[in-house]
Amino acid sequence: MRKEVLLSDAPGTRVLLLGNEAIARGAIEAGVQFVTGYPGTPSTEIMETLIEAAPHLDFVAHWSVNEKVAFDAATGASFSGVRSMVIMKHVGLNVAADSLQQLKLIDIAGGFVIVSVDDPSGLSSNNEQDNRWYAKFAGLPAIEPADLNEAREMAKRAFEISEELRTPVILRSVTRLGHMTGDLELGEFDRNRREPNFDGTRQWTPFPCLEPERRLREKLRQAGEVFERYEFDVYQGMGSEKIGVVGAGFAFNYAQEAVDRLGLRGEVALLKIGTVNPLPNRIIHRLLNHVSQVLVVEDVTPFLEEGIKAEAQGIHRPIQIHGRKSGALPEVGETILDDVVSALADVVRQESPDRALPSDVLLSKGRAEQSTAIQKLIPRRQIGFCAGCSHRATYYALTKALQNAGIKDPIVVGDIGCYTLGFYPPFSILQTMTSMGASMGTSDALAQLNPSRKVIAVIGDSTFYHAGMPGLLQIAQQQRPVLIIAMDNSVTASTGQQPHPGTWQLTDERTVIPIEDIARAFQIPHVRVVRSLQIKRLIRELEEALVLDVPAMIVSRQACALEPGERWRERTVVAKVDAAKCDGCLACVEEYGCPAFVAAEDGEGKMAIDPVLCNGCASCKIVCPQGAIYLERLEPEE
Amino acid sequence: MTRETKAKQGPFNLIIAGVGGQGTIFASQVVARAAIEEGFSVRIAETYGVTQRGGPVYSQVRIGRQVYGPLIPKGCCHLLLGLEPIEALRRGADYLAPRAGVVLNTHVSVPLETQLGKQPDLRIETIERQLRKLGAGELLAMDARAMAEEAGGATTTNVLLLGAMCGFDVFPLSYNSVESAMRATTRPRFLEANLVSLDRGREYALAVKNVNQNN
Ligand SMILES: Cc1ncc(C[n+]2csc(CCOP(=O)(O)OP(=O)(O)O)c2C)c(N)n1
Repeated sequence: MRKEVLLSDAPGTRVLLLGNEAIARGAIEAGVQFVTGYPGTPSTEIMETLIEAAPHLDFVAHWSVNEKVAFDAATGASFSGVRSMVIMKHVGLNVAADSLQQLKLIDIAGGFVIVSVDDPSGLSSNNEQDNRWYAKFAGLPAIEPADLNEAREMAKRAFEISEELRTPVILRSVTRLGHMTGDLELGEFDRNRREPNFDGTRQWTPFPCLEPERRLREKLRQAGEVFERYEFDVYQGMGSEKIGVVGAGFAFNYAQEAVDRLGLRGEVALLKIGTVNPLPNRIIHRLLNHVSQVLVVEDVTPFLEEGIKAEAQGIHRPIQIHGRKSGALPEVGETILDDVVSALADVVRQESPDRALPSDVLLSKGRAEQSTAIQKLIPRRQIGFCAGCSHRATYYALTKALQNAGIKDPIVVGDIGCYTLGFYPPFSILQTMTSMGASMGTSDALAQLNPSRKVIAVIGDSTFYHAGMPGLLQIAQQQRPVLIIAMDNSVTASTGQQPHPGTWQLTDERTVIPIEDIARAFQIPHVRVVRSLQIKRLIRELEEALVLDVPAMIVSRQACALEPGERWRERTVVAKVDAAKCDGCLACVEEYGCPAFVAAEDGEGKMAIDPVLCNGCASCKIVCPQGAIYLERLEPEE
Repeated sequence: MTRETKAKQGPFNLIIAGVGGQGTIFASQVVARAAIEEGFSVRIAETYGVTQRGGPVYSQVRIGRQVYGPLIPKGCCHLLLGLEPIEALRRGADYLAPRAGVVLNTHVSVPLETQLGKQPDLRIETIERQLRKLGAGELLAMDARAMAEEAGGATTTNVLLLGAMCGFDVFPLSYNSVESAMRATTRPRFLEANLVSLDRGREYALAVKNVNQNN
């Protein structure tokens, strides 16, 4: 369905797309010939969409092992003269940053677009990070869309701009745009397909760097003029308003809606900023020339506020700039409309104390108190592993193995993925987590400095390939007695089951490179592979490995329960609770915590298993001390 | 007030609240498609990331002639579709507008920590009472899961509730466009079951309304 829309050559048609799909559509319209990236919420769907479209339009689209590899691969494509795009979440650019800082100095051939999706409030991330600073840091042109149509349009135009300036262009988006569905219009296809052709007569290197550094600054000055042609920045005013409201990219929506809610349309000037770097100073001056107060609405950091403030210094008249830095809006967290409404109301009151404002646009104090009181009654809903998830089985086995081995104060180092939920009940077993792959280096030093304690590092399969391998090499080379548990569920599960070099489930003919082969090649002396749901055996293997004083790896392997193929629809058994045996001890919930465990309807405190939620993995049998859990065979559906 | 004028006064705001795996996002997609079929603009904010793991999920859907952002201001939700009642109250507490409509599945999905006695045990009666205290107008509570089991199957619970929502006066779209959006959005394998549940939901809502009007 969506695929038809994405491939449709009917410009002007109004369609329904996700923001991330709109960006993908823009790349398709631009005739992109090479795309790659590494999964990461909130950017993942851009790549997934392009992978789906690629065979129909004959371009290359595939996931890379990590963001740096992706960036470097897209670089090779650009050097071959074709339009290329690299896609990642905000933190991905940290991994690719070294490549970014070099490539910026080279005159590229095919248009090169870097899509960076920031995650205000860290809705699906460990941090808030404003990648507009990367544009400024690298000195590269950057733009950010305010809505779906512009997301499509900017993704497309970024290629032209990149080719005109012969420099990479950054397209910054945010979660709310990427994960917003709405209507937009399709644009036209650019039909300039290029034959890949690497020109070996040129030197594709920044060295010696001073001349390229100088040229980069020149390109950025040019970028300012180029951007004006595209009208990414829009001024709406009469030239006489005292108040200006400025919105950066997607945050412009909050600016507009706040103005409407307060009934200020026509009374304040509005400025939408779509160019991040360089800032569009001409249009900013148009606003500054007549206002005495400016409210800047933007996500994550006061990037634009600071830029406007610097510009305002050139105007010899006091202008107050309000925003995240001034304290008018919260310093951290995603922009919230209600905050913008009250900040704007404050600015209006300051400017014209007599101007009456509608009083009912924010929750009344009484109503807000009522909400708070109700929220206190509502139980928290801790997120946990899916029914049938192999990670639950592994953590359960690890807990038991530690008990059996009598290890009371282990250091358990975590990493990033679904398995990070091991921080939470019922296991609460992980103790550290920083960036992807960090479990390897961190456990190496923890083991070195805490020799009397057992150090266990837990790492997901995708994370292992992404950035875990160099750290494992160091552990191996140092012969550090860390027990590494590789949580191998065949896919990059937390971002939606994307493949990686160890994915064995897919039907295509790619080579599979299993984790254990790498560990053995790295000369890890003790490597075992166990099926996660065979819990008894897993416990035994873990116990054995826990007492070794050499590096050891247990690969706990079982396909993700949500793996394409939807195992749970094909289950052959469901688990049931024998009410006569269940004594309501809740060990199943306290030690295993599968979402299919529910209170039995008799109201006597006994447990039951929800037949809809049960995945049929059969692993929970082992956890009931009364042996009350049994399996019932399902009749095969016709 | 006709449907036309309603949508002109600024966007119509709908929240669909549930837990991961209940099909919250699917329901919002169907509504979105129906909205553009009727010539409206639509914006949906979806919470992703942990949706498959039983965590809270909610979609904010805004429909109108012109809609800017997808986020609904507090106190401005005109219609709340509660696929799961605890989650419905969690969102309703902040977002419900005065006299808002509420469609509520009474089947509670009890959080793990509540089962362990570490978090409050919120009963369906309390949830309904609190929603009324918040000023809910029309409130339709139904054991949608049980009803779905008898219609298109337990996995169509979301669809059945969607059907019930179509029977609400505040909902600005017609049942016909929701049904045709359902046809366009559902995979063929599941279409039959979805249509049965969609219709069952609407019938139920209309029947309840008739009883109320006759009383
Ligand atoms: C640099 C970086 N890129 C991407 C992400 C997004 N991300 C979080 S966890 C993860 C990988 C999870 O896969 P895996 O290690 O296989 O664990 P699983 O989720 O399957 O348990 C990714 C890609 C990130 N946090 N940091």
